[in-house]
Amino acid sequence: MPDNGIQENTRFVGRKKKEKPGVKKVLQPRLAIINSFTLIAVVYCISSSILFFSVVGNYFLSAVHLLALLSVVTNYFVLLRTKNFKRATNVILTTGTVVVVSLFTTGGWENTGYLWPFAYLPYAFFLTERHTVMHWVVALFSGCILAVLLHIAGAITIPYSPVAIANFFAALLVFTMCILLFQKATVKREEFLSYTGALLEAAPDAVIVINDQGQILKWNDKAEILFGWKEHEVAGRLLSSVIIPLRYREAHKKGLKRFLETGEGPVLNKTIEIKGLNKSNKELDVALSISPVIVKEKYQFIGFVRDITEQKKAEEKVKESEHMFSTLFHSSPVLNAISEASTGKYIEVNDAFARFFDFTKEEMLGKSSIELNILSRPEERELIIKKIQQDGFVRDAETQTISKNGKTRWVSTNIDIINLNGKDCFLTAAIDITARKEAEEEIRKMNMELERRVEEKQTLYSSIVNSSDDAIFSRTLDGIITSWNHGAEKSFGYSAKEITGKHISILIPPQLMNEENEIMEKIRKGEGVDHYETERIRKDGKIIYVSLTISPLRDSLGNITGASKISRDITERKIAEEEKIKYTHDLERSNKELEQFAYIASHDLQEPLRMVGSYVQLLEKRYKGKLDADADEFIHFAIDGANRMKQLISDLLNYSRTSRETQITEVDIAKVLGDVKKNLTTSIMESNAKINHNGMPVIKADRTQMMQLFQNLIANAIKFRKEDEAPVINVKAINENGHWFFSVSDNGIGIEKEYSDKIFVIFKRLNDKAKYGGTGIGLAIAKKIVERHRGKIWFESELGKGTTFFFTLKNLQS
Amino acid sequence: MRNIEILLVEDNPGDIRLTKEALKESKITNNLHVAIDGVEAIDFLKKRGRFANSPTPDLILLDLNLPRKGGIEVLAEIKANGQMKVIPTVVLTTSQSEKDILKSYELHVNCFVTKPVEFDAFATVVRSIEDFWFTIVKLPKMEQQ
Repeated sequence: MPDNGIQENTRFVGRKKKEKPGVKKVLQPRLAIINSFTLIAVVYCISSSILFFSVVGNYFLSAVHLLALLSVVTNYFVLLRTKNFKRATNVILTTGTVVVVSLFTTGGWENTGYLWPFAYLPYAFFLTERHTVMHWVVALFSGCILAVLLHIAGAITIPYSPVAIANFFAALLVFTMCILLFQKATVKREEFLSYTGALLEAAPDAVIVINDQGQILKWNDKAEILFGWKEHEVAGRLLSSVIIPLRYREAHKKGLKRFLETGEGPVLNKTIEIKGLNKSNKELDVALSISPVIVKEKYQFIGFVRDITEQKKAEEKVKESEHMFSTLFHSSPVLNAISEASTGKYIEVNDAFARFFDFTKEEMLGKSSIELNILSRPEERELIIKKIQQDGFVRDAETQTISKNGKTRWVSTNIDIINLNGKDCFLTAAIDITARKEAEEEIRKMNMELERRVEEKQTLYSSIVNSSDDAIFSRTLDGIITSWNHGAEKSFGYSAKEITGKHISILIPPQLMNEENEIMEKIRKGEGVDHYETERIRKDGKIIYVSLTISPLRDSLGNITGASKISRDITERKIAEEEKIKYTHDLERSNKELEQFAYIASHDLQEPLRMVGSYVQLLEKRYKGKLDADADEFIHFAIDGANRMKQLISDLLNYSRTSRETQITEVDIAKVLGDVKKNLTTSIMESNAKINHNGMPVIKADRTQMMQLFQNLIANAIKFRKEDEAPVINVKAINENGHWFFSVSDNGIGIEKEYSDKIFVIFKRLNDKAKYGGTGIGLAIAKKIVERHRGKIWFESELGKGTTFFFTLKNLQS
Repeated sequence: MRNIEILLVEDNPGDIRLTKEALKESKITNNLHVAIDGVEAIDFLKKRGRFANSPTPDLILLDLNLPRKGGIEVLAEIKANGQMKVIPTVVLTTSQSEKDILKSYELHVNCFVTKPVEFDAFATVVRSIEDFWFTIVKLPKMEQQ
């Protein structure tokens, strides 16, 4: 029973929504106790009253019991009306006590009056507080003891024997003790009573109790904290004026009034969320539940108030984040969709997703990708789902899709499993990678093309390598031969088979091994060697000359692993070069010998010539006209021959001397020309020649030879003049890239073309000896001088109009 | 006035004769002595052997191209000798070599003359030498031994 009571009470203060609102039901268990007790009391009172009246004839006691009956019945109805148990039990106990004492003092019921307490006291325990019960027990004792004392004093007469009185008290004492013991057993109920107070304070919520006027009766600590008001500050004030914002006050008052009039309270016994007001006039979000109770026949209302400001904020945040994610989902350019895991049907797709597949959202929702036929390879879907089941997600799955309009595109998809309303769903996010795919395809094609070309090139290279006459081979850094082409076979005599894997040293003459090592040092540093000429040994032991081009070979990481060598057999060229050098040398020697010979010859020839010339002259001088005419003529021819011979030898000497003696100095050509004119004074005067020159340079050359050159050319020009025209000779000079370019032109008889290659040959005469004289050495010497100055000489001529000799001179260093 | 003594060092008889012929046409009376090589020339100058009674020449006409002892050697000996070096010595040669010319002057030759090819020219040269040395130039007095 006590437990039940607590449960009932607990239920009473509980706020479960399921419970239907209303007072009656809540109070029923207690009412049952009251009902049974009241029934017993009524039966007892009526029967006792009738018995005392009619059987015993004790009208006093009969009246007492009627009064008691009246009290019980009245109180019962009051209780029904007000639900005030305390009041009800108090009335009942008072009545009981009065009845018991009356019985005792009047001895009306033959020592049975003590049974009364047994009838009502246990009930009292469930209905009121301990101290109230004890109060009535003491009252009962005191009343009975007072009656005994009055009896002893003789004021009244108790109609019982002392034994009966003692018996009564003993019974009362035992009963009291029974009550006390019983009380112990019912301590839980007491605890519950203290709980309510503790609960009030310990409640996590603010608890406020108001009366039916709306005045605050109770205000716990949490309420103080929540609203800022102390209990004493608000006690007795109208709740509406304290914690209800102005705009809700009227509604509060109306609600209260309606409840009190009609018993209807739509807000009672459930949690509602409203605004509250704290001491500093700030509005709070609060959750409120109100339970009405009847206290002292009047309604009171217990309100539980919880601050849900934080909760509200959190809810706001959740809402915001939901909104944000929803916006993110819908307005994203990424193709987003949510589908049921079990069926694949789309629950939600964003605009981008629908648009991508040329559907409207509505067309897509409720259908699966298979039904919509948006996958190029629907069989892939199974694979993807398997992967999701395995890993819980899929990343960057590349899929080809078809839109409603048949557009084929590639997407990269991420899929995650999410739980929506207890169902597993796939959250799909995809991006269009068609452009990238196409680019990749393009790149793949290009790579293939490139590979094909590389292959072609390699084929080309290898065919070049194979068909090359040059030896092309490679070696490792350690000197092991790794490849060997056909050219190498021909060049060195070894076949590829015999030499691959052998050491390079078999090709190198031992005395040249150092050289090879030096080359390899260069290769290790990544440098190459170009056209290095050296010697190598053939298989047959013959030495060949080769020109080597060596480059480092690298692996794919760029490390040098060996060297490729292109070796060209230059033996023939080498031999030819050596022969050329020898020939050149021979030629130089023979030229020198020739010059020496010419010099010596001319020098030694002069001696006998002088004898011949001198004696023939002496002969002519002493014996002319003394012998006969024939003798005179013979002597004349002999003298003429000797003279010509003398000229030839003298020219030859000059010619050979030209090549022997060269002294390079700074030569002022203008001065040279001045000297030449002096030397040629006689013939210039004779021919009335005009020699023009200006802007002549100073060059590095042999002065004597320059004089000879210009003198020969000018003398030549004067010599081959036209009979009827005075010679005009122009000398010009132009500088061209460090070379001097001269011209000497005349207005003479000109030179026939057919002789152009003979004109510079020594002793070559083109003209009538008698008319023009000379040995024909002048131009030969001129040519030799020009050539000694590393120049060229040539001429242009027109017969009958004149000739121009051109020549270049290099500015020689001394 | 005594006759002029001239020593011709010349191996070529043609030249010797030409020289003689040329000197014949000279106004100055002279005695021409001939040494046909360098050794004889030195013997003559030092009056050795068959030249013991030979006179000290007033002029030496020296060819360079000589058998046994060359003209350059003879010139060097003459110009190294205290008594002989005062004798005017003329190189009369067919050589036109610059080297010979330079060498001769380095050895203090008095002059270097190339023999002309024509006889007239030759005769003129020889006469000119005579004229120059014996009528124009003042020479130191020489002690006759």
